[in-house]
Amino acid sequence: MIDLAIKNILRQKTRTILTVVGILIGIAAVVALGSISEGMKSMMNQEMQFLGGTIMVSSQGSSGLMFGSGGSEISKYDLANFEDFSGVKQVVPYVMKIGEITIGQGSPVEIIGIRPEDVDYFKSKGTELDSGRLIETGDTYQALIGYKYAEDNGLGIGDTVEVKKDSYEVVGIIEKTDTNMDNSIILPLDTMMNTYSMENYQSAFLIPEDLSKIQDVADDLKSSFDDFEFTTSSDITKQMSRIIDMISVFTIGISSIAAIVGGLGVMNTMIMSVLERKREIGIMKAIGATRKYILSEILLESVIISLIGGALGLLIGGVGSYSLRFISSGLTEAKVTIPLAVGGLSFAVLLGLVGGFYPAWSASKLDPIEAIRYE
Amino acid sequence: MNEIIKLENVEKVYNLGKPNELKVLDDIDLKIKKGEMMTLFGPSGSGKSTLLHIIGCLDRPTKGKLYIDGKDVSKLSDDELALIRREKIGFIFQQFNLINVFTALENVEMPMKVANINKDKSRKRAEELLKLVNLSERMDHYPSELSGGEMQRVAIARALANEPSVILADEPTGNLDSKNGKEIFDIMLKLNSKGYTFVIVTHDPNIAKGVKRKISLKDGKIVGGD
Repeated sequence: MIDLAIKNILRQKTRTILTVVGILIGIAAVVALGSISEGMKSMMNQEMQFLGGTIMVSSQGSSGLMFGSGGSEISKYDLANFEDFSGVKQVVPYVMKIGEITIGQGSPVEIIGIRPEDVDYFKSKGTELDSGRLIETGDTYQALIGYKYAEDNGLGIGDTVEVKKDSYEVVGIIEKTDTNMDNSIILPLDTMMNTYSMENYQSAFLIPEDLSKIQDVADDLKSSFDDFEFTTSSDITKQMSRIIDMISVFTIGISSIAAIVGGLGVMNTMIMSVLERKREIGIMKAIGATRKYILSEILLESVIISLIGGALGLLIGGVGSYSLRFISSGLTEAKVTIPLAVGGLSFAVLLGLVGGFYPAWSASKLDPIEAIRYE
Repeated sequence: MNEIIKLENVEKVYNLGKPNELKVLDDIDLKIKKGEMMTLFGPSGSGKSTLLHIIGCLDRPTKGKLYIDGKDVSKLSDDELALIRREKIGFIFQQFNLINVFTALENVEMPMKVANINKDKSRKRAEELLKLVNLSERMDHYPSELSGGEMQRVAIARALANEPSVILADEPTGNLDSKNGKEIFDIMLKLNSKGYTFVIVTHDPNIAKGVKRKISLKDGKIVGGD
């Protein structure tokens, strides 16, 4: 049956190719756009690992997502209050500047200031050094730099980086993490606050004494300090997931419309094909083809067309999503996951089945006597 | 009982119960024995094509019964009738009705393909059948590359593919010149001598002369022969 289907598909090559292209465009769009939200999800998970087990403090009005940009800030006095709060073991304040230095095709560099004594906290989150040493208590104009930043600027241990006209000695390079960390410069907190003339901290991580009570501690903090927001990594994950899901629904929705139009193309092609072959279908029925045989035959043809379109669409969508990653120089990670690939192909098959069903069903219903007389 | 086909009081009415109701066949009783060759005569509109379609299970009688190989098929579903056509009936049409995008060989394979017969087996049988109708040389030709007589020989080979109980021919020589017409009739006679049963609707005087049993129809009734 399959050889017959292929033979029939090849009868009108131009029409078949155009129909395949219709499906291809739709599925490629679904895959390329879908890969962006998959990429965002995996990027978020990596970032969240870093935040795991901590409560992030930010001032009211700056959303947890924006890592302490805008709004008021945390003063030394506030910091002391957090340190004394029951259930809080450690407070890790930091400041951050984004986008003042750029590298490559304009990727922003994150400049982060932390207390040298807190560096173990960052280390405990699985961030290892590629080479050199960590910053230590007593360091002032020493810096750690991210893997990509080091590579793009050809920097090694002992070289200097210039931040706002102050020179810092590179003492360590952080291993590749595939997060924003790769594009960062980490400076001792006090020196950086001097360099930028900052009085207050932008944000801080609070580490609870008992990790299993993290949510309770966060709730207590929320009721005690009105001016600040306390966000746990699960809050952020929830927030971000909601946004990413919205983006997914939107992008996949839009691209699905393209794919559905492709499906209408399949239906159109199969209706034409059945009409052209009406007499043949009558002959097939006269020599003993059942309704089921004719139905499966036509459905098989439309599924083959849409499957070819789906496979090519998957390929082109995959290439598209990787080039997108290249164009955005690592800012947007796009991932063609297996569920996405399987979903794209299944969607193509579904379009073939739905688009082929009406023509197949009407072909199977043809009266052989009438169909044979049809010219 | 060696009747392959038996019709009892078969009646066919089109547009039943509507103002344009039309009775095409009226009270037809007919028996066709195995190995028989029979012709159906009659002016156009006499109902001979309808009768052939009913015998061929392409259409159902409005009233009465049709038995094929002893089985009552008058009330079967579309798909059940398709199976009867596949296993018991071979068709030869005036217009040949080959499928143009398939070669002679593929056309002959088609009924076996529909019947899910193994590909090697059906290819071998199709080759044998084309040899039987003297077309071994033209197996890979498409219908457009064949003459009318050759196309009709392919159609005969196709009709034989699934070893049918009866071969129904609707004006098989109607589109052929007398030389090719005679050739086709000779092949049919040869097959009949091998035991194949034929029912032929025809106006061809040569066929009429060569066949013993003749039934004539007029206004949907059998008016001559038996």
